[in-house]
Amino acid sequence: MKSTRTKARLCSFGLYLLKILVALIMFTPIIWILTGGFKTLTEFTTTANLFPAQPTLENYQYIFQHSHIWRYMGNTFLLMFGATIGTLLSSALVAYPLARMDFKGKKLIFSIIIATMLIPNIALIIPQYIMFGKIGWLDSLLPMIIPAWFAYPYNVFLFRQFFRSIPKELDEAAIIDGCTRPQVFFKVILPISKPTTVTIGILSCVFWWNELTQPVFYINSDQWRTMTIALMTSFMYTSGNAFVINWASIMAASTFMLIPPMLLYAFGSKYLVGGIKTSGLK
Amino acid sequence: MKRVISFLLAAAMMTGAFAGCGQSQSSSSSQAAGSTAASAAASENVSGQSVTITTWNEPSKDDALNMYKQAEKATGVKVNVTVIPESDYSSKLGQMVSTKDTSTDIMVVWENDLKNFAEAKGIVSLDSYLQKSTINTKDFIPAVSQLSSGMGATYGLPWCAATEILYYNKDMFKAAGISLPTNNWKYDDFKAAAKKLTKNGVYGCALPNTQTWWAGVGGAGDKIYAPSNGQMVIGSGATSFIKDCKVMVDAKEMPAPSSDTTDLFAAGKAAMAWQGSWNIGTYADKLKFDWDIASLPTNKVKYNTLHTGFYTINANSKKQTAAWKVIEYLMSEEGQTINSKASGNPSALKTIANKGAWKVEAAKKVTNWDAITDSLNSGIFGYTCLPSGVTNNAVSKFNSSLLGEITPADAVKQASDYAAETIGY
Amino acid sequence: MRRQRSDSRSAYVFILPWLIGFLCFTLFPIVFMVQQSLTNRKLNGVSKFIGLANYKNMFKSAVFWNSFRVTILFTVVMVVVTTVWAVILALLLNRKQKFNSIFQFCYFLPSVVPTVALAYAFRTIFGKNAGLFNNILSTFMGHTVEINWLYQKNTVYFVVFFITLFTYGTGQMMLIFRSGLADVPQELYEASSLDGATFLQKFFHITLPMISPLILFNAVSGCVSALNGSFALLYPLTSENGDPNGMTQVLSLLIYKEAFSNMKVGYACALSVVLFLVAAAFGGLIFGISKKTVYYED
Repeated sequence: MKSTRTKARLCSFGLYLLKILVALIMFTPIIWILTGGFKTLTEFTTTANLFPAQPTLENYQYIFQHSHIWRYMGNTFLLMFGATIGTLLSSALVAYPLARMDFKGKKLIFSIIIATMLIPNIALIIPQYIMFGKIGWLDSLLPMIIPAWFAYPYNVFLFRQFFRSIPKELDEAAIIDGCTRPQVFFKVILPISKPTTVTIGILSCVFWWNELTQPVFYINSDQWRTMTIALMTSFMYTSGNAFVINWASIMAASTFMLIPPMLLYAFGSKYLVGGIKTSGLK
Repeated sequence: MKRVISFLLAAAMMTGAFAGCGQSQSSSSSQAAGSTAASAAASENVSGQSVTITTWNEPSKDDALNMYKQAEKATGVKVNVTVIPESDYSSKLGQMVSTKDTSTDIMVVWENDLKNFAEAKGIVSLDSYLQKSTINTKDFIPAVSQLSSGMGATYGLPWCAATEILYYNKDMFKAAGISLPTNNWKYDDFKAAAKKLTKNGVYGCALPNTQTWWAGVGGAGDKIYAPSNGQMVIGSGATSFIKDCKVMVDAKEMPAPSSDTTDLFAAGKAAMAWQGSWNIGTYADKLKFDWDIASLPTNKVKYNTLHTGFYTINANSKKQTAAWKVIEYLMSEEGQTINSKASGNPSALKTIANKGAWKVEAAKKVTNWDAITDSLNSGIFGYTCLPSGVTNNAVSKFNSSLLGEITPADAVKQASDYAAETIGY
Repeated sequence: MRRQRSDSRSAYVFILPWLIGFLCFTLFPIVFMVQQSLTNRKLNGVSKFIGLANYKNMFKSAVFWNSFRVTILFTVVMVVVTTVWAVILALLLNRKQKFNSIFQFCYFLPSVVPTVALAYAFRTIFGKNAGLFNNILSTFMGHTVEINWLYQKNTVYFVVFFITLFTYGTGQMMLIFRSGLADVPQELYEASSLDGATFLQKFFHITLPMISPLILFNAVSGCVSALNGSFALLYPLTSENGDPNGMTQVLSLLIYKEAFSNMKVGYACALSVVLFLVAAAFGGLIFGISKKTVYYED
């Protein structure tokens, strides 16, 4: 009896060690970014110390005084909220009948949704680019925000999974009480879908906050730069010499970019795991 | 034979250039409509308007050396500057033109894009403006007028004529007891010096950058750009230059290409560097050691690539008159002088360049200013006339070859194949 | 009966946003892409019908075939590596222990770091002269290590796939596995413990079958995010040329380069068609394999 307990203890101790090791590996790039922002460019490019020898604020001064960082932040927030609110509303709407109603063509529509999940956006970005160019949406956030209001298959899928786990009697009772389907959706289903909505909302926010590909294609001018683009342009080079990458200021700006996703995580972590319903995933 | 043909071609292009210039002067009557528009516009009050200029260079932080700030003062037009880094510059501008972007009024357009943009009607002819102006287009250095020929009109005015030069760390040369580089330095002198200067983790010479690779290739005898069909022409010259560099990389006289490259010369970790003349303005008084410049010690031919950009007016801009006012100032003696002082780049207008404003005042350590004049004389527009996708790809191949992943001959072949399948699409 | 029909109608109203989006932003671009791939459209909008010339040139191009191979390799390896890593992370967190929320924070946080920032961080961590990784190795080995991680053909893939462990896709997969593992009935483990099953036996006989539908789901979404997300990672990491020597030039990078550096939009459309087909092939393949191996509880 005693030996099994020691064994269990050893086991859990070993697991802790493993967990700590993995945590160290996973956290290294973040520490590198956080501390890199406080190094001078010379120190950053000549030594590999994890912590700065003489911490400096010059990189932060540089990115705040030198660029339109607040404009980039504003654009990024606009993109993030615009796209997230749109996708939450539309994806939940579309997922509802797929999970809880019977109608003709349901199977076909669901198959198409699954199939479109498989299309990487990058494969369609050139025709979309030409298309958006023709209607004058380029160099704005519209090519990213507007499509989000028309339901993303992936999010539809996640919502559907959750809606399926809600007992059907709930809808039926509401309908007997005289509710219409939209009323059922908005008054009954949505309120109890908070964990899923929060989870998908957080994932979507993080995705758009970090999105680089689409802005690289669609944004040209300084006016609509997002933070990710600014990282590759405004903060990238030391002034005057286009070939010297200003690593330290990139790290400072990256640190700044880390804050919103971290806050989001802190706010939503209790929903994150339970929010995704996986039972009956087939 | 090839040489003779190319010379003839060049000569033909030159005469074409001047004919083109002459034409635009003489055909003024046919452009009466345009010029009335321009004169009507000239009387329009533009002060208080604001225009946006798109460029790849960060403006100087010193207001006295910031030509845009000075342009604001002189013209009353507010000038906003949008900076797009060089790596994306050409493609982003191309996108702006294709989408009839209105967020920018003045675009500084690169050599290889000027013709495309004019064809796509993304930029306007400046002829009618030029007639009313004091800018003397005949005063441009020959290479510039050659480049803007064949388009039937002047679409852009060169903001400068930058060259490529050798930067060297005087302290290291003195410590090693090597005689200092001159403008007559030979390629072998350069290689011998690089060997001697390599020690204690200091490289003899920094790696050529995406620009000066082409000086080495052209210097070794390749033509690089064929104006007749727009193709990239590299061969034995490129192969031999890559081989030379590979020998130096293997001997640690030159750093291997890496993902975290930095300015080793400025950091005092490379004794020499082949770089653009604009770095004089960047280094100015900031380097902690004694340094100077010389013209590039290229191999068989004296070669370096001229760099410029052309001030153009966006055809979709609603403030073209104000934009012209600003361009006119930037091309004036005052504007060009400020630019030269800030960047070290000579003006493309001969009479202004001859006054020598490009001798950057802050760069007190530079004594061999003749290097710039010397480089201007041997400089031509070469790789900058090719699409950036093609030249970037070639440099990537050259670098792979330095790391031993492909042979120099294969690198040259792959780069040429890609150029052939890309150009003339 | 009447209820049924009105139900049907309101269902279609619910579906409407997706239908519009599907027609405008998916179906139409697909048709348009195929049509444009038959022209020599340039970035400035000038275009002419040229038949199959783009495809002919593409199949002759060494750069294309290299990129095609790299794309397949990347997608396969990235899906495997990220899925396995996500399972490992989820398993580590599954065992109820103290400080689990801190560990989850550490494991999940890298995936919310912008991919560009990650790419730049790793470009310097794996730098040759002042890189953290070489520095750590130097400390352990006792002499200076100067490996040019991102520029050598035998190390570059290791680095790139290592970096994918930190990306958004991995974090998302971990969350899905986490909730899936939480749903596995504990009685199954307890029963097998009584039978004296080892950890590995439990994993292969209970855990794996129970989460196999999730592995399928994650493999599919991992596949898409490998094809999609590789651009955001590799563009800042190894540039549009996919250094060194095109070894990391996936199709998405080539599409960007052809369209915007070389202005060949028609050709870029032809490349997009290929990428589209590659994605379809992967999707078909994964579903094909899963039919035989995935376990569904009824």
